[in-house]
Amino acid sequence: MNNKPRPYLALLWIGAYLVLIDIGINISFPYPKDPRNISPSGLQQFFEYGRSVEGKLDGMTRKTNEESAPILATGWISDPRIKTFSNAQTGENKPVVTVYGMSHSVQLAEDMAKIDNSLSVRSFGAPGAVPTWSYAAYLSDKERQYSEVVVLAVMTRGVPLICTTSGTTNHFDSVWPYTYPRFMVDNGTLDSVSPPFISLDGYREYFYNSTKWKTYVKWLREYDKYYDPILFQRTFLDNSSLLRMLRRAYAYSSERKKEAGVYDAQKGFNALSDEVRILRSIIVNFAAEARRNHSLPIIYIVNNVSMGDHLYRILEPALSAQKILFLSSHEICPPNDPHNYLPDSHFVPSKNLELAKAMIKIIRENMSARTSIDSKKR
Amino acid sequence: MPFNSISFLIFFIVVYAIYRILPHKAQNIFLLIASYVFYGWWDIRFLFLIIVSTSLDFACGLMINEGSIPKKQRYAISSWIVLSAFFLLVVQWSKLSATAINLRPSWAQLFSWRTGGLIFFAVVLVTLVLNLLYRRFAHFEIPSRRKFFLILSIAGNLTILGFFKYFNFFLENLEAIMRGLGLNPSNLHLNILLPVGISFYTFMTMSYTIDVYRGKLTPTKKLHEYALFVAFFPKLLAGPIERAANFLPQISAKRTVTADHLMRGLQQITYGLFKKIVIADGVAKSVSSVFGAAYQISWADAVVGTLLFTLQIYCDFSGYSDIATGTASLMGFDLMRNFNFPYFARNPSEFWGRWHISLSSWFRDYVFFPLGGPYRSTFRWIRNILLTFFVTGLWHGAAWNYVLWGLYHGVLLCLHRIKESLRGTRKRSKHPLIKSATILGFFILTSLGWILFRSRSLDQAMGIFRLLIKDFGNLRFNAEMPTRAALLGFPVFLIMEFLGNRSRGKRVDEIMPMPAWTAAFSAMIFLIILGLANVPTGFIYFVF
Repeated sequence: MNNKPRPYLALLWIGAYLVLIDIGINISFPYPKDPRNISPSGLQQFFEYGRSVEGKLDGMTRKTNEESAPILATGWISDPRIKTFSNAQTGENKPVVTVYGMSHSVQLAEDMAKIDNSLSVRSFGAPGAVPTWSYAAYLSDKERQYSEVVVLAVMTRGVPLICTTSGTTNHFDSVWPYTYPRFMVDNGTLDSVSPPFISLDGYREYFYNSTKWKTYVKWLREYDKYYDPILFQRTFLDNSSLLRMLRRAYAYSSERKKEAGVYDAQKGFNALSDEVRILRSIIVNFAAEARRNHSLPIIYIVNNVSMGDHLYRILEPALSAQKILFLSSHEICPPNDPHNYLPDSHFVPSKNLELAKAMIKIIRENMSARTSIDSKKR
Repeated sequence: MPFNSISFLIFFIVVYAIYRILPHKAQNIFLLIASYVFYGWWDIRFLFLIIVSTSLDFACGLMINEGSIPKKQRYAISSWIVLSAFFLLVVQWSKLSATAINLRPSWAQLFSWRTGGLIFFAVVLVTLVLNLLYRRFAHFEIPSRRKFFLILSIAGNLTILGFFKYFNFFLENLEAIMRGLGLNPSNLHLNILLPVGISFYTFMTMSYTIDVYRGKLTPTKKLHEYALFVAFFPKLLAGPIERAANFLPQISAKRTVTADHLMRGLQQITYGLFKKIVIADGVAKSVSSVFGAAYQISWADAVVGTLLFTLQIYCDFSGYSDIATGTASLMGFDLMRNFNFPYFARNPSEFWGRWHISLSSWFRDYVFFPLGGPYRSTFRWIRNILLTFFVTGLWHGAAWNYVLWGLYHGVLLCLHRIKESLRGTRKRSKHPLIKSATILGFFILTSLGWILFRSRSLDQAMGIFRLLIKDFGNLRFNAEMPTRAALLGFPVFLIMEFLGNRSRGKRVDEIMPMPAWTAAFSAMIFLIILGLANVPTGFIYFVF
């Protein structure tokens, strides 16, 4: 063995090996080019996570819906397809309960419908929906005034993302192009700014027009707290699997830093943060608007696994002060017990059923006391 | 600024680039400033503690050996300590940050006279008194003077350490005793922050004065060199606990960065980052899901959680030590070896010669031997061992589970000694199977000890021990799985450890051809990139 240390030669060898690893991964785990292929292998997906947002959008977007990735169509608040679930039959005259929120709330609605056939349950949901999306979905629901009960779901993980405006910035690993307004509290008043497009057609129009796309990116830079050009803009770095992984690590670290100003695992939410102030304002405005429409407003608080009941604790004073009904998941599924959760962070079916029962109980008790169980005249 | 952060990477690149172009004298001063910046990054106020400890031991070292400190030196120490008290405790640096400055703080807000000012005036007063009493000290009889300054140094350091680390522990126990006596004490607990690395640098400074007292070391007359010995940033937060006899000459002499230094440094940094980012951080969530579980864990959870913590603590701490040693090596320094593949130990005596070597040798030299060491009767030897390990446990943390962990190892060592004396002159079997079984057996014993170390309370530790017996064989596994990077990294880690142990710590480039070892390091770099997405956890030993 030649014992003379040659560090520079060693660095060259290591560099060459890393290039080989990079090329090897790209050849062995290529991400399917066809956007309709929705079942890539776990490793294909894993090495794709770090691609830039624009790179991911490019992979899933085509000129028509038939050619594009199915996920592209989800979450658009102006789209009637947003309604992911309803057990109401045409002509039925049952009291209507509408739930707005993320996948957890969709599952809750499904179970509510299974348990109680006397209610007509509608559900408006988007993958990874943050509270601002849910509120915007409520405001854009043209039939909201016909709902006897409206449920707004908020989730612990979604609160730090309140100042985002799109599924492209609120979740880096898998992006969704749907958009929602940016809400802000100005002198105690909840205000909002709408994104340049709020429909799938609008998105396509912008995506395939570089000038329009630039104006959208400029809008994101101005209004979206989580917009980051390193994560968003497509560059040649997308071609390297190792650099994609580095970008993913950067995305996680930058998300953690942004989240730190709003939420701390030990201390809970920062009550002075913009996000918490906006959330409280959204809830108060949602309840006021619902009451104006003679609907019963309820807040469904989804406490994520290992995140304690911090969300409940930060909202409880505002909910009590405004006499807004709520169901907090921590009462039925303690967040510190992982047995209550599936690996994908949803509640286990038995607990989801319990939550649905509890929600129906709240609805029954308060609807009968408030007005009558009879449905509104449409 | 932990080693596994971008901020440290930028810091080190800047420091290294400047360091390499400076002449030797300027290098030392520059490294001292860099080290203070590195430490002040956490909390600038605690930098004052390091300066107090440094000044105290520097002065005590000179007084023990020479009996005098030249006037110029005295003024230098005095003004250094007074100025640092003002700038680190009175000036409110947080008000000068970019965001705070936008709020236009008033002059009054830039200074903290209530707490910082109080300490500042106390420091001025004590410095004045010590300067006035200097002539008296210098006229002490030699043996009394030497003893006086040794005691002053040890008492000073232990007071700092005791207050910041053990004061609340003492109060909690006092409260418990008072409650036991039927009294109802109000909450005596003080809100004290533990300065990072305090146990490490106070032990370094104490060993300096003790060695000077013992005549093993001539004290340095250059304050900045001594200050650099204490604060050198790679080892400041979690060791190795360097001895002045090894490190001070390296500061004084002109350093050359050789190809050997570069090779060793880069290898150690890479392997250290691999152990920390890929393995330790990769299993951290799994370990927490067992030891922090709010539900009833099973036997399988307890076993896997314990084994993963055994890996985590080793990879976390030895990873830190490797990065520290590697970083120092790139600058031409040779730090002492802190770990020597401890999980290949066959008995407790071997284990403590391989685990946290700088601490175990410190306790051997400054606690065990002064107590009488191994040279007296078996009873005295056992007493000395148990006392030494009691203190070793307490050093790790102000809680009874650490003390028990120390005593557990003390008892293992005593049992080993009894077993060895019963064996007499019979030789150990060299059969590979027996050797492997002995290593595995002691690994299990070490892992059981880590339950005491990791548990949040004694009750929890006892609960896990009970579970290991009563729930034996329950394979229902609920804990979180390690990350993908960690799972891929385990085989690489095992191969590296096995090769390292077999080659008795030789560098891989000395035992393998370049294409082979560079392939291993490339795999490690790939896994580090993969592991960077893990939630980074702080180095476990930073809190000790």
